[in-house]
Amino acid sequence: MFRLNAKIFISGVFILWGVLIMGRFLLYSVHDKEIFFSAKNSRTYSSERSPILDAFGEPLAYDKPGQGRIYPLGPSGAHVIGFVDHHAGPEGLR
Amino acid sequence: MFVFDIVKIGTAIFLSLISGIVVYLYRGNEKPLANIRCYRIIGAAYAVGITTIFISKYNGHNVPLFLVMLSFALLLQYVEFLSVKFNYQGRHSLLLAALVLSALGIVIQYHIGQNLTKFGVKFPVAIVQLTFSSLGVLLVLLPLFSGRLEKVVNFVADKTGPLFWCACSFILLALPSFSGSAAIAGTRSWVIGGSGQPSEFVLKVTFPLFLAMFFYAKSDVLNSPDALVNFKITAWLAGLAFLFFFFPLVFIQRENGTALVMALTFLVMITLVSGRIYYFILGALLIALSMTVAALTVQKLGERFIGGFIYWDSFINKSYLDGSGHTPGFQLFKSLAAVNGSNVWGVGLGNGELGIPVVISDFVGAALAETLGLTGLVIVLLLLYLPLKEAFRYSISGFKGLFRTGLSVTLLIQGLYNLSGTLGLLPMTGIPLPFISYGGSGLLTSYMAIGLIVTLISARKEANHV
Repeated sequence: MFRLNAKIFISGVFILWGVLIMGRFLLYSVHDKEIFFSAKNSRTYSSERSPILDAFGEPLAYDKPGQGRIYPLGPSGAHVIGFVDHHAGPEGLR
Repeated sequence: MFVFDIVKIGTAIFLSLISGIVVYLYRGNEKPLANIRCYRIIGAAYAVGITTIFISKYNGHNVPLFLVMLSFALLLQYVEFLSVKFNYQGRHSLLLAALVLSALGIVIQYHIGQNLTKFGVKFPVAIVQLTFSSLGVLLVLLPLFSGRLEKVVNFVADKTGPLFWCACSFILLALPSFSGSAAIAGTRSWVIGGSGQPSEFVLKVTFPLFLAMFFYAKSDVLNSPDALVNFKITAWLAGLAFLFFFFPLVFIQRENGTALVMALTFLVMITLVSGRIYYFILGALLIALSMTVAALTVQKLGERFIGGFIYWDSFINKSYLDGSGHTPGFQLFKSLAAVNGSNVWGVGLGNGELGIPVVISDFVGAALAETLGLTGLVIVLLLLYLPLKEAFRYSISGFKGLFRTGLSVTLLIQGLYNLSGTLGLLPMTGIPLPFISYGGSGLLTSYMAIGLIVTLISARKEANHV
């Protein structure tokens, strides 16, 4: 009797766990939280951004389909086109 | 527009075929002809999925990779041929479930399209996943169909005991420390230069085996109505488990995720065997308390628990630990952002913006949920539940009943915990999704677990054996 109850209890726990997972998925699937529209979410912007060019027309930043944003100068171009600091966040140092 | 329609049609056919298989498996009424058709349907679904991604994501490029990927469909037909050739009379349901999960895993890895470098050579992850899935299928199903796996199980049951498996597990878990492999993400869990994870074998084979042997040997005591006697033997078991399993995992390997899955498996098994539900409640509280203390006292764990789970939205762009450069909330943010908008059917195979860190292993659930939506998630959950459903159909007493239950519980807990971590329901601790996450050791040991469960279910009539 005890063992049968334990089986039912454990089955119930696992089913509840699965329901919670599905509920959590549905919550975030339809969630309109502002955070998901941030620039960090590559799914919120589908249009290509314009390239950033220097005075000679050389690209400093441009979009490549399938690879995202490309920065030919790497970190050395950060002072020109901006950067995100891990400590200070997207607003940068003021 | 035409390409977009191909995605919708291809994904719809893929999901329909897979859903049909799941419904058949849950009916529990196996018929030989229907089983054979299932292998063909899985092969067809797999081919549709791969072709959809080939057209929509790869735009028809890299044909050699596409052709290699299709070979898994041929392997499924070979498995069907082998089952007929060996006149296999056992149950097919769990084999089919494992093959569906494997097919899903390979399709998702092909969709993700990442490459990795192993031993100096660059490979698509999908090829590695395909290779290990195929190896798992052949290495386990051949002995299963021929009856050799049952002989191995009987030999192990007759000739070995729980302390033997304690010692073996301790050696396996200590092995990475002596193999010279470097730590990866703070965890020293791999041997042979970053490949081979003994903890997966311990988690999915030797730990359930140890528990089954111990419970069977002490079954009279565990069934005793005297709560004190019962508690003493439980404490003795917990001590052994801590010394030989949890200690090397947590303090030598620093592999907390596997230790957590083991602890949960232990909790479920002791509840089932003793019939005392309060063990589960007390044990769950103890595990939660341990995790909280660990998070508050160990900075790296605090980073994952507090920065990557509780306050994840505050640490998307901010480091939790000064100077580390890690933004622990970023991974969960990307995962939830991927899920956002995927709804019931997902965005379709080949579509979706990923960019989730470690999406090929820990967060593969996010890629699955994004492309296949709630439907894909439900399919995976139902397939992970199936081994336990099959194990619970029969008695869990006796060594074989205990062993198959332990194996089923371990696979289920691993899958549920991974999906929970992906969706931010629980803190993610590097636990893979069985059959779907990238990882050779994980794949092979998952197949081993399924093969053992099928063997033990087929041998259930030998109730008096061991």
